[in-house]
Amino acid sequence: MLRIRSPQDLGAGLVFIAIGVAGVYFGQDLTYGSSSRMGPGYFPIILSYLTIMMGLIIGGRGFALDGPPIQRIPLRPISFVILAILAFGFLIEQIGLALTTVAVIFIASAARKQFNVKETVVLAIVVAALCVGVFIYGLSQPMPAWWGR
Amino acid sequence: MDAFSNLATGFAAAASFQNLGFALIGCLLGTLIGVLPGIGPIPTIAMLLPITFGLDPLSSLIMLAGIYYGAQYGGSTTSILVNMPGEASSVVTCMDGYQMARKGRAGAALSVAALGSFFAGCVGTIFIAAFGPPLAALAQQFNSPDYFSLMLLGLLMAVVLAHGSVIKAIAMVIVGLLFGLVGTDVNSGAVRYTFGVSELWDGIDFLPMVIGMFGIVEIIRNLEEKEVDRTAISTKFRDLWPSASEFAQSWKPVLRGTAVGSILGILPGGGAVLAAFAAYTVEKKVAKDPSRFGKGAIEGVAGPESANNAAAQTSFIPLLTLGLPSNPIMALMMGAMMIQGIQPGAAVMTSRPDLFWGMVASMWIGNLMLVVINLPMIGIWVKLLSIPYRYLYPAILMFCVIGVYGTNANAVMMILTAVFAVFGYIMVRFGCEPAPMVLGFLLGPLMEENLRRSLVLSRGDPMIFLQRPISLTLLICALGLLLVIVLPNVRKSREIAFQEGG
Amino acid sequence: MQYTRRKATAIIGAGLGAPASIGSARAQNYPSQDVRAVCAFAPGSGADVLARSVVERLRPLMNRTIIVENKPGANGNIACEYVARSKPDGHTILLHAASATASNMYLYKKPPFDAVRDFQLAATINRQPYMVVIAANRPWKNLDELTAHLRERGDKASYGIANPMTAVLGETYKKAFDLKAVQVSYRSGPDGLNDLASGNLDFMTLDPVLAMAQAREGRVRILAASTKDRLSVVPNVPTLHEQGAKDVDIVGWWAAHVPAATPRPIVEQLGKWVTQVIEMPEMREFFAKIGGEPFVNSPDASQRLFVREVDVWKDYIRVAQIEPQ
Repeated sequence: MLRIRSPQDLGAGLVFIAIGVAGVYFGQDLTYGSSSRMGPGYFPIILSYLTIMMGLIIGGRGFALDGPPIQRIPLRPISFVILAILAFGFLIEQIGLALTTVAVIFIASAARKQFNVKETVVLAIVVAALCVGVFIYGLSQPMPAWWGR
Repeated sequence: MDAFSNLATGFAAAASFQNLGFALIGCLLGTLIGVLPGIGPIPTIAMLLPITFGLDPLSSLIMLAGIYYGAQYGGSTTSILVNMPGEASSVVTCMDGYQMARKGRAGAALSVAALGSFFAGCVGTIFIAAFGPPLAALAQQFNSPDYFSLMLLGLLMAVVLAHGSVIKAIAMVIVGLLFGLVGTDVNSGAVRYTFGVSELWDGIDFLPMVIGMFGIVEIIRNLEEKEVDRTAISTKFRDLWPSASEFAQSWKPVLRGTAVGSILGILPGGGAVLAAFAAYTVEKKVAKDPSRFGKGAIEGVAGPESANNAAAQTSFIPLLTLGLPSNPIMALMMGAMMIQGIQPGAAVMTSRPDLFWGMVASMWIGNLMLVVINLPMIGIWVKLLSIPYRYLYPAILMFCVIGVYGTNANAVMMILTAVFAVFGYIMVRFGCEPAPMVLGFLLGPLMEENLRRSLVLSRGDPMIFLQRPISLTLLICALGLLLVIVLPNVRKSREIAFQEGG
Repeated sequence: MQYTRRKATAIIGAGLGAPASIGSARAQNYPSQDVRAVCAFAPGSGADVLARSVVERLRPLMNRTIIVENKPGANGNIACEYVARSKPDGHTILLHAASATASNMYLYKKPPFDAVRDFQLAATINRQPYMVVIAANRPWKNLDELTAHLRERGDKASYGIANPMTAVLGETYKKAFDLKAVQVSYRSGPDGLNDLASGNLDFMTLDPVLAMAQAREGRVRILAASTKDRLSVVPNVPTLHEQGAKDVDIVGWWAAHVPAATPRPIVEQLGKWVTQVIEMPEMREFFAKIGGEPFVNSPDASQRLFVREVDVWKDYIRVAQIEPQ
């Protein structure tokens, strides 16, 4: 009977298979060509199939060999950190670097359970001042300091 | 030897008060942008190009070159301190440098990186002075098939990077190759895997990938752990400096890394990227106990750091002797020279010896300045680490996103960063490491291009890879490396099978 | 997307003055705010060097801050689209090869802009030939000898290209003499030089900057130029046209593009300034160094050339058998 003995391997195998299948599926319109005149699809398709093959081997090992379990994934840190990154992308052009920094720092700080509003306010102001000073005035990076431009 | 009288000319030109000043500005600025993740040397040099219009050509080149190697230095600093590589060459430094920092040896890692880089920089300078032209001639011998074989060898090195499962590392390399193919195909102009997003036409940017998979993933993982008390980190001189045994472990890797880096640096294209990876591979292979790697082995910092700095120096060789830029930064330097009305190439050596040798001499001066600037800073960097993580990580995150955004002001870049962070995190949970994938990503396009080109040239005959001596030699090396990778593994799995049977 | 991106980059160096209102934009107030010169290639590239050289000399004439904004990617499409959609007030200028802007109409199935409808050229900047080169150690002294060799080798001959322009040159040359050499493409010209030197490639088609630099270094020999008539910068290089390839007239030419809706007085004024810049002796010298010569045209003449260029590319794409993407 099949029993999952190494969940990490099985998980990794499934991800590789998914990537390989996506590679084949989205690459099917590309010209394959011949070995003497490879089309744009030749290398990607070969790589995609190789990825699937590796996925099958690694996933298969998940049933054959014992391995460590997958560590628990606490959702709070990863969700807030990712949210902070996306927030930056969507806010920076709307409200400028100063306020975006404040928002990002708040979201990022909320990734910890022991979220402390007072501390975060201070941190946000300090980092915002630092960022605007260094990146906009110091290095003239292409981003607005404030909103409305 | 002639090289010495030439170098004397160079030092006379480079050591003027003005030029020393510009070297210092370049080094300081380079260190600054290197430490601030993401703001790589390319945008900085581009930004400063207009300023250099008004300067003497030598001064402007000295300053720009200073930014280049200053950034190399600074990039290693963030790799060691917060696991955030700013450039391809510092990805390797993350692996053991960051682990050393976690063990409280950040000071030692930074010192070894600085000293190793300085040594490598000195050797690289002498290398350019003594062997520049013949080495350039060697680099010119590399044809498409040779590049393909070099890339293949490089990918096998990527597998050695992994300290976990070899098969997963191979899979990650292949996935990296696939990611590297996203964008416009050079051979046919076809656009691949872009899903209609025009921002992807030129491929996935390097920074969202590494910042996501290294910097951000590390933040998330740290947040999951209980906060450790970091105020205890000692900043006493004794603890910042490598111990006697760490020194003893480092000097040979520095020598080997310098040699590897000096040679690979000359090759246009992937050469300089490969240098740090190759040096790591060498160290791991010659080490008595390879299992220490990835857990804070000082050799894993000393070797690659020396290699990438040596390569940074010798990558000037093709530009200075052939007029061919070997990487985007060299292309920028070439642009700077052309704005000044100088056509880079061997002619510069005879028509403007003060300029050519002045630049070579300034490299050494720059390296000296960097070590002088950076060694005292190590204490400050380490002190930074003692700031409680709850204050530190939001700021690090902020620098990460600004860095990515700074290279390409675009919300798509942030989405990519988030995607790679999630992907990297999941893969780490499944026991797959990001470093091999990054190397696959960097080498993938080069590998495919050269494979296809070679086969067009040979009309589909794969023998072309065996007929050229350079390619054949590289393939034999690759085969040897493959055996070295596979054999212990076969033995190990046999042992496992045996244990299970028993 | 495009809108927000514009906003983000508009900030570089901005901060002066109120935004100019389009309706009242008259030439005497122009430029009323900082000007952005957009370059479609990465900082430090040949194109960037050219753009910055022009901007450097335009600055005192316009008496305003001019920021070079690099918007590389998608073979110029990103920069073209960005400028085409920017406010038509003369404060956003695309400094780009008009021949490349035109070519993108046929290189892509769905180009994100319409060259002729979206752009008005204020002035042309320079023009340059592309070149057929061989490795210095090859015996052929002129194009005839190379052609004879290629004919003999048939489909065993190979040649290298690095961009659509050089691809078109290679294919038109082949078509003119009915040759069968196989095309090998490279990311950039320098990437192909090693294969050329080792004899893997029989010839390469290169841009003049690289061709002339490498010829000076003695590594390649230039056999022919792509323009119909010899340009003043390379008076000794025979053209393909005069050596029997009657159809070949490939010119790379640069122009200052502004959005089509830009008020006429502003176009005229900008055109005058650009022309003033490219007529400076040091610019002639600079163009010569990169293998080109100043190219002076009024806005109307420039636009006519542009319309024709777009037409010409329709044929080029067919001859070069380039598959639109």
